[in-house]
Amino acid sequence: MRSYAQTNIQLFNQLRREGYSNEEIGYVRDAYELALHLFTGLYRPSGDTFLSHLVGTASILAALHTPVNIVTAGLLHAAYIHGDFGILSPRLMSGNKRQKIRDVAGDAVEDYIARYRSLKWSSRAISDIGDRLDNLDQIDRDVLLIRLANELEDSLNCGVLYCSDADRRRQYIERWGQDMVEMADRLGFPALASELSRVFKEVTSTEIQRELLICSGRDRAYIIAPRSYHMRLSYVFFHTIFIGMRILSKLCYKMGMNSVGALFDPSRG
Amino acid sequence: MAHSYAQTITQLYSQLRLNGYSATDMVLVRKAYELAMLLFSGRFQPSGKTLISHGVGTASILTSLRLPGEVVAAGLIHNAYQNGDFGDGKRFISKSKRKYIRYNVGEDVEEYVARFATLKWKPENISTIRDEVNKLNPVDRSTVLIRLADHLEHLLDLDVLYYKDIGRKRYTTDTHIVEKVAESLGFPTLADEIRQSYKETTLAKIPVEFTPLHSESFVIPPPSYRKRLSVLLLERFYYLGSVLKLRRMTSSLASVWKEKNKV
Repeated sequence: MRSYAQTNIQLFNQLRREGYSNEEIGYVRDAYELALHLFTGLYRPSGDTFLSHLVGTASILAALHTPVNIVTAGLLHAAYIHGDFGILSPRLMSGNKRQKIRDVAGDAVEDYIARYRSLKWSSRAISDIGDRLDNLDQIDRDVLLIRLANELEDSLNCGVLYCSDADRRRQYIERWGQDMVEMADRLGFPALASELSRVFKEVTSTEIQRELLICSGRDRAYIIAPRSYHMRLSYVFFHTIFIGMRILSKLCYKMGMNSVGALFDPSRG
Repeated sequence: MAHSYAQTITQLYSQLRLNGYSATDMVLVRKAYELAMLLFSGRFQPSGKTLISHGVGTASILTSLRLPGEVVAAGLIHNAYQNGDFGDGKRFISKSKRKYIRYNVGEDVEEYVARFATLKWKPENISTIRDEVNKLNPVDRSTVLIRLADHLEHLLDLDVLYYKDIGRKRYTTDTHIVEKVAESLGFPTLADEIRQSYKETTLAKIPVEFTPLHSESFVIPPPSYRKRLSVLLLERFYYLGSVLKLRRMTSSLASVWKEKNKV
């Protein structure tokens, strides 16, 4: 079994072994310090800490000997999706957030993360990317590589099967897994392709007991704050409105009023 | 690449399954992990590694020794009374905390965790334990094994090299006695692992850029959260209490000093 780093110190040790310079490792360490603040208390639906997923993604990219910028972008790839910046704009890329990332990781890494946020990854988008992969510019190819590393990390140890929507995730892998393997190959990373193939096979052939789902299983990342802390009042207010708008959006989509639904929740559109 | 011990719950599940643990044991481990999420969320080792990963790593070492499910589950939350955030602003073991843990993982697991918190683990105590291994009762024996697994987990991946001096010394100076305890308990492979990890730690050097920042574990709350008022007040109250205690002590010392001078 190939094992990737799941903690910061495992990642630093790996980077040293793979021949990254001390300066480069220091750069990754600074990015990890930022990740500590953005993703503290956040969990994957499988129950793993979100930080271990980020470290795992960076570790996969390091194992492929990609430049340190890509490894660092892998470490912070979900900053605009799940990062808690203490700013009232979840899931949006505001100027303040972008500046915060640039200050620590630099412009190039921030650009990768912003493009990662904008990369559409629905069924239609995957087949579309497959069609135009040869025409993608270098940055988009790198962003796609980070996405594939994310997919691999998600599925390691059958992590996706510990989510409440495990069946849907398994079907997704059955339908699109081979396309992702081919993408990795076409990007010039046969080692990643074979790892994806091995791990996807494991996911599709394994059954998990429902009693093992952490917190009865979730279908998206969630925060568990330290028990001595509670959400700031402004956030409680904002979140109530945010959740209300998502419910309204879902209702509108169900009733066929897609354009109104998109108004309430632009991320769905 | 890395050692083969788990650092995440999904890795630990895979290991438990491979080692033939029953469904009941795995459900118990799940319950302990859910409790760990509540108690250690946002808490990090001095190296920046999550405390949850350390708990999982300790449980994984105990799994590799094929110990019962209750001991593995206790390993996952072994430092609950020292580092767990129960939301009451108090540290250390208390009746209400014990009740809370018992409710979540059962009496057997809680007994190990409570014993872990009260077991004295200083060089002189460790030597006594080594010499009197045969006198240990089953609970103490398993608790010592959790201690040993905890010690090894701190040495894995050069973790302690990222601690500030005091924190680092705690795990490097006692190693030679700790490995002897493992041998006395009948776990030579564990003793070997501790010896090997210690050797790697002493031979390795981390880059100068990696100045260790912490000697103790620390908390980073999510930025959109703030400390509860009740906890803040209680912390201030305890702080005030300790300041008053210190004042009383110094004034009594001063009066003793004065009286001595008079004589």
